[in-house]
Amino acid sequence: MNSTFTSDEILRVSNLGLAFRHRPHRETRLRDVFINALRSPLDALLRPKTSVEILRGVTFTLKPGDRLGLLGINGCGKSSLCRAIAGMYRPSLGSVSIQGSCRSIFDTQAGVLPELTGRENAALLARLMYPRLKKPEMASLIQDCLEFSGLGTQLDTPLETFSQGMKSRLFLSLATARPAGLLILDEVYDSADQFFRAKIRARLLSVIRDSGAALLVSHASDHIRESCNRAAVLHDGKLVFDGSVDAAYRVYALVNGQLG
Amino acid sequence: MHRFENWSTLKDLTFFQMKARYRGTAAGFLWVVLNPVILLLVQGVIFRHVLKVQMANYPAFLLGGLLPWTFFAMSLQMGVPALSNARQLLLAFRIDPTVFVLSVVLDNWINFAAAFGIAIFGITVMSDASALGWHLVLFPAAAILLLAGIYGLVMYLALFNVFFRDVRFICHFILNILLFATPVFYPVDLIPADWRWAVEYNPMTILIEPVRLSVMGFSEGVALPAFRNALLLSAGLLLLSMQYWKRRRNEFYLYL
Repeated sequence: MNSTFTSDEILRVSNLGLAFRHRPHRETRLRDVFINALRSPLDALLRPKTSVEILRGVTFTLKPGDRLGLLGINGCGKSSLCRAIAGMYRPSLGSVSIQGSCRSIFDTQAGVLPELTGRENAALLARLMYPRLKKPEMASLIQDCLEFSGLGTQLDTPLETFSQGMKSRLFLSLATARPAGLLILDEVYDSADQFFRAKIRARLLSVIRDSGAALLVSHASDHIRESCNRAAVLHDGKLVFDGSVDAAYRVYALVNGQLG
Repeated sequence: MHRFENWSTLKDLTFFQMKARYRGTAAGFLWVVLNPVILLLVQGVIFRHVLKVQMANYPAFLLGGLLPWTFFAMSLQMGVPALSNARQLLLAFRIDPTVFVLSVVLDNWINFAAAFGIAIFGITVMSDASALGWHLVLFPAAAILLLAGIYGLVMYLALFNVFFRDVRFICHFILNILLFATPVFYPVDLIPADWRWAVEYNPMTILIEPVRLSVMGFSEGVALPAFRNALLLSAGLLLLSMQYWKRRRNEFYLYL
């Protein structure tokens, strides 16, 4: 994908740009499209699509052992950057190159089929998260996760009866079961209850350290300081700093101060 | 999007989908075959004995149209909202969205094949068994073309439904209109010549025709064009859905 990609890099993001093309005040119902087309046919036909730039010229690399914390205010493009790296978004400009496997987690309360039990959903989620795992290894992973979740007999009740916290326990237990070549965690820390939080925090730290490289997004500075050996600041879609965690927080505060 | 890292993911999702569908029902998987078979019996009795449709081997004719239609209608109803229903999961980590639609369509296709097997057995025992013959060997090919065509269409509409949430409701009433514009209960010959084009160019007629020919048999020169048309239509629908995904991928996650 990229000629400058070197073998000791796990991730290379080169001049990444991401833009969405959409019509302003876009209707999401066909009825509205129809009414507006009748009201003003020329406008409906000729109204140009506007391009909204989310990311601009983002460039950085991750090498084995790098654990990068991504700092930035809401709406600056952190999740979009993570999704573009995970392969969900196609870059409008530049490129993303990953060597090895990549696992990304953006939500910790998702289930698959609410009619099925927690145990059955765990089996299905494990298959979706770890598609390359062989059957015996998969069975032991699921067993380990179910025990770790501490949900006991509640695992045999339908997922639709689970509280948000219970869903988080199940999902986080599965998502942190194995390290990855590149691990992307986008604000996964705060969804579990306080008793489970300490337990999952240790497991998260361990899976982050065992992964080839990690990219973390969190608004909690203690989590970033504890997990990361490097941090970058994203501001208005641009990477304005990449360096030590302490320096990154100073730049982050400065950028916020300027905004205020 | 149309490649899978692991086919067993699709297999598991389809299996659990089927499991979820009949969870809490007493008859379970029995409904899969009971529903279409009862429908087939009722329609057969009404059209044959009440409306006096004069046609040789009408049960086989009905089987070749009604079961593919049920497969299409169920796939459309369950598949079109499949992506918007899986919103949280699709945004939680990277998963190929194709598997959600394909597992729904596959679930219904398996039900269709099971009901077809049972109905064929029933027709052989109860009616003019001589009408069922070697042409049944064409059924697997016809069923695969039907699966591909319906998957392509449902995938396209499921993507479209993410941008315009009305699509699933529009599909509901289009299904009702389409049922009468598709020769499910009646042969095409019953339509006045001036209006026959509306039925013959109907995509569902094109996809159902190979299944019906494999059940009813055919005269020389009929099967090849029917299978060719179904193949072209299925390939076209698959390409259309792939192109739409390629073009709207970023916006898909934005509007999901």
